[in-house]
Amino acid sequence: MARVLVIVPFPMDAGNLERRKAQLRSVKLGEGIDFEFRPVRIAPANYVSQQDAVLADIGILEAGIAAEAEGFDAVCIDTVSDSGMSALRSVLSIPVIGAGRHAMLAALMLGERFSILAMWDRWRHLYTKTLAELGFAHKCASLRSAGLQPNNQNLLGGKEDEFFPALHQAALRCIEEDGADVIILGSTTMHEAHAYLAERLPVPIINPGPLTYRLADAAIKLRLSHSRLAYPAPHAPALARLRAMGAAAAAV
Amino acid sequence: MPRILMIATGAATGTSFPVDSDTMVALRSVSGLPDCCDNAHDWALADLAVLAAGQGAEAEGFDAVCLADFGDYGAGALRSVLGVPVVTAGRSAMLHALTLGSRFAVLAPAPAARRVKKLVQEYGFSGQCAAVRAFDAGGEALAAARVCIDEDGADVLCLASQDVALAARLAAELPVPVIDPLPLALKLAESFLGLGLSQSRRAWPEPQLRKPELIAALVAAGERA
Repeated sequence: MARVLVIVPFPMDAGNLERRKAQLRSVKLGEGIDFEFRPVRIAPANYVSQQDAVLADIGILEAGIAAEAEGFDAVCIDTVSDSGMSALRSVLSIPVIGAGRHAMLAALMLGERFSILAMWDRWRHLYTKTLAELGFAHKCASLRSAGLQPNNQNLLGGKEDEFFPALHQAALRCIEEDGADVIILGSTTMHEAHAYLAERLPVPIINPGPLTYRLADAAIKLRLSHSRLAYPAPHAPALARLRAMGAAAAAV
Repeated sequence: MPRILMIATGAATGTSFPVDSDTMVALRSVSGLPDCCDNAHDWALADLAVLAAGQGAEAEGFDAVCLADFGDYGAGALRSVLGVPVVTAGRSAMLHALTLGSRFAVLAPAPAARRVKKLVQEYGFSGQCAAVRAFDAGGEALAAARVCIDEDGADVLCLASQDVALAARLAAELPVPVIDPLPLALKLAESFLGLGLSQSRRAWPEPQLRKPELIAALVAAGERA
């Protein structure tokens, strides 16, 4: 049985972790593959600034740095920000799948231009970073938000009647006004709206978390991992230092 | 049980793919192909031949189509007439390469290199493609691959051929990931089926009037000539 570590980018209780794990049910998974969800110990309150980006990188690196030694065959990062992805790739040889980078590249397999549909505008920096890294800003029809305050713990729970139609309206504008062929949900925290939107939109809509579960399966079975030339290894992985940071964060 | 139609332009090699046990892969060789494919005349004929080979896939009960040739012949046309996912080797391999590194190179048998360069330009991948290098035989492929890495700055390689053994040999010898497009296309097709995704109708609109009989008749007549 192949084992995949899914790193959840916020500390959370078991109930809220179940809302994240629910993403597994929206996809037909590959054979012989098992997913273990692990919340980070170090995290910002949310992902709206460069301070938050640094804390997110460190938290996700700390959560996954020993994944290979723990016997995992791949790592999925449960955030479209791809926080920690590059850092983890530099220390791990197993595949590390970041939801954002992979969602954008998969979108280009399904269309010529994609839009990213976010809850609110304060997530824009997450997408412009990956678009710049990929050099694919010209493939992005738009970054649009529905102007809604997200909640990274209980996700969209209890707000479906207000949030789902607002997301639908914003998605339609991506297609009709901005010329998107494909929509990408701007956060894995939006997965509860995916089925609602997929039924109502005339274009494919990518659910980034579940996409990573299939791509992890493909990576394991094709024995295809990231390039060491693109992600060189550190001279001295700071395992002990990061573990101490994890313990310190839990106490703050 | 997902049924995938794999359309191959060369002699289809390899029957053991890393797919789930309930996935069925049917290999189909294309008839009516030109014999070289390094010029626009041949490309036009290849587009038609692949379209004819795959246009009935949905009616035949296939859940997805994979095009094994890196040249992506007939890809846009098939996507315009099919609702099921059409996964194409060239486009998918180059995009997947960018999940693994920042700049890829394509190694192509000499006659295919011009087509690959055209696709890199059309797809808008010029900024991400370190090089398209041609090779003539197996031994030269390894030497060309090393130039892609050491001089061109590629950190991932795509092999633009359907030679599974060559892909395995390159992967064993080289310090970068080597993408063998055929098994990748199959895994992506399985992934899209598992996620309920297909290509966008906005990017590949349906024809107002379909011409399946004409397309089949053209290829059949060409074969008889």
